[in-house]
Amino acid sequence: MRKLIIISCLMFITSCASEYKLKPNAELVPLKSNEGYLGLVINTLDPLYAIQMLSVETDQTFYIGSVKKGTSQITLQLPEGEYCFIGFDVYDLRIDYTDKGFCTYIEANELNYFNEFLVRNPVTRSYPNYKKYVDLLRVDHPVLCKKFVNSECSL
Amino acid sequence: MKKLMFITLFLYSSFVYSNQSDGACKKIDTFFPYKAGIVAEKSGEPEYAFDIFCNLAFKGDYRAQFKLAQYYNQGLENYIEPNKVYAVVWARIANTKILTRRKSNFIEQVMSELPDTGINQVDELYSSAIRMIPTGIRIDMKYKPLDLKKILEEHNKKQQYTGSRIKRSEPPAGLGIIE
Repeated sequence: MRKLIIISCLMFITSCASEYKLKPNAELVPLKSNEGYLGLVINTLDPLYAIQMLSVETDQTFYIGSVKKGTSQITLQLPEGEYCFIGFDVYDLRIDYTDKGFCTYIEANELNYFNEFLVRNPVTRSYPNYKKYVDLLRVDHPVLCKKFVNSECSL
Repeated sequence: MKKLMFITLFLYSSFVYSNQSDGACKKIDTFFPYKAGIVAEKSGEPEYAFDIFCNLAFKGDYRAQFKLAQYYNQGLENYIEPNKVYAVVWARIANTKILTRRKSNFIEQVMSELPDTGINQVDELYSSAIRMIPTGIRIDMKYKPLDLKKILEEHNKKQQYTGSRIKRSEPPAGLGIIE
């Protein structure tokens, strides 16, 4: 019963993410004048759920869904501003980063590549690996990649 | 010799600290993230924004490097003169690791406005500058070094088994490392 409740909650949270997260190969919704894309890569040994972001300007926290174990890209369409990657669920454990987690500024009309997050227990490391993001973006969002990176979507 | 002087001039005009009246960017001792430059821009203080971006650009923030490119392309009244060569050099530095169509289009556009001598200057300056100036990073938060050994020791102390196959752990303090 407990597992059922947890799964139901996770499914609900994941459904809330669709507002921001671009679904692979879905048709792009044009950016509004104050919106930009936030792109990041998560490298994890376990599936992560309820990945949570915080908007520093509005103090709004929101969920951006889940990722399978392995390496995945996440691209979000967000209003301009500062955002922080603050935590996630793994199995039945909630992980919240300290000091608002990992923050970056999203500019409008840009593809804002954040970083690659190497999620490990007990330390998450963050480092730039743009090539990996572009390689993943080419598969999941080729149109966006060609529009914002280059016509070949290749580095 | 001429090349050396030109490179020195580039570095000087972009970074050597001086008073505001000569148009160079000013040293800022306090840490400011990229967002501070954006806020300064939006608050109608482009000179202050330029100085923040300038400091960040030399630390490797590619967004700040592209901002400098845009400032040098347009110039800032009573602060910096337009300089298309510097504009292209900064944009090329910014585009070295984080290649985007927007930066590529900017470079192409400004390059088309340069005479042949300017294009040669861009190539010379870029090849020297890219060896000295890092790029490809975003400076949004102040770097806080963590004692990984201590974190692991604390984590291991707190780790316990719940009876299931899943280990339940208290997350240690200071999980994040920013590089």
